[in-house]
Amino acid sequence: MKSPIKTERDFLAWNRQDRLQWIERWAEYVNTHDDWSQQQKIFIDAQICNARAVSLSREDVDAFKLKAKRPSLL
Amino acid sequence: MVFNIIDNKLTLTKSINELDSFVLDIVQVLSKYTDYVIVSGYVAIFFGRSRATEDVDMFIKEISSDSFRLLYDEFVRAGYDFTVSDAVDLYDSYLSDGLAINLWRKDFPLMRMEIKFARKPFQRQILRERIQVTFDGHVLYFSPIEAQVAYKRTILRSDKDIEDALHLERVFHLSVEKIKYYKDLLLFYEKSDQN
Repeated sequence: MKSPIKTERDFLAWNRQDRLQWIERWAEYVNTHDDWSQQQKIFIDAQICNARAVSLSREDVDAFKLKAKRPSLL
Repeated sequence: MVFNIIDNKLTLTKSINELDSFVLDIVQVLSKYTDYVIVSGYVAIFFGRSRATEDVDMFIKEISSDSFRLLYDEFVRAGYDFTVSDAVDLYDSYLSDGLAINLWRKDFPLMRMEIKFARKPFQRQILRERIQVTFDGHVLYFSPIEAQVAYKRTILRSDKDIEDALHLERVFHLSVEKIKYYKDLLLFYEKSDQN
């Protein structure tokens, strides 16, 4: 089957839908599994651990944020 | 288990992650001085959204300059930094001017608490109507979930906010009428601001 994604706009629309579907699935997991917060803890703590390992200063963080606000060229 | 808030209260069991610890440490000091309500992204994250954040937003009830000075000193003693290292400047040029102040652990500037005085009618209302969440011996106060869903879907509307709203809608028993009530209120205040 040929992919229906022809343009960047198609891709963005598909990607948005895909993300929303994933959120629905994860929310269903939260509703039906007692270990949701243990799973979430692993995910969040790992991100914080990585950030800590990089050891950024307040100024570094602000500089990254400024860059992140620039519009994407893609 | 779908979260169910009864009489503005909810009790749940939760593994506390580092972001939760960051928030708990701050509110332990802050709540000695004033009332607070947590809003925005961390509301969705606390209730299971699978994403992290680098800032947690809250509104606080206005306090006097003297009380703020005491709060500031206690946070500094506990190892926190503020946007500006001057309590008077923070109070006069930021909080009193409707601007947010940031607060973070000296050794970890990536994660910060953004604090504003609750001044606008909607902000004061969600502070009054805050929900008490008890978990593993801790208490946090959050905005009514319906207010967050309405705000994210009506005002903010970025992809991230729509995703947060969807998550909250799926993990809570929410009142559709209450979401509409907050939405209408937000649109009313938005119009009033423009006039």
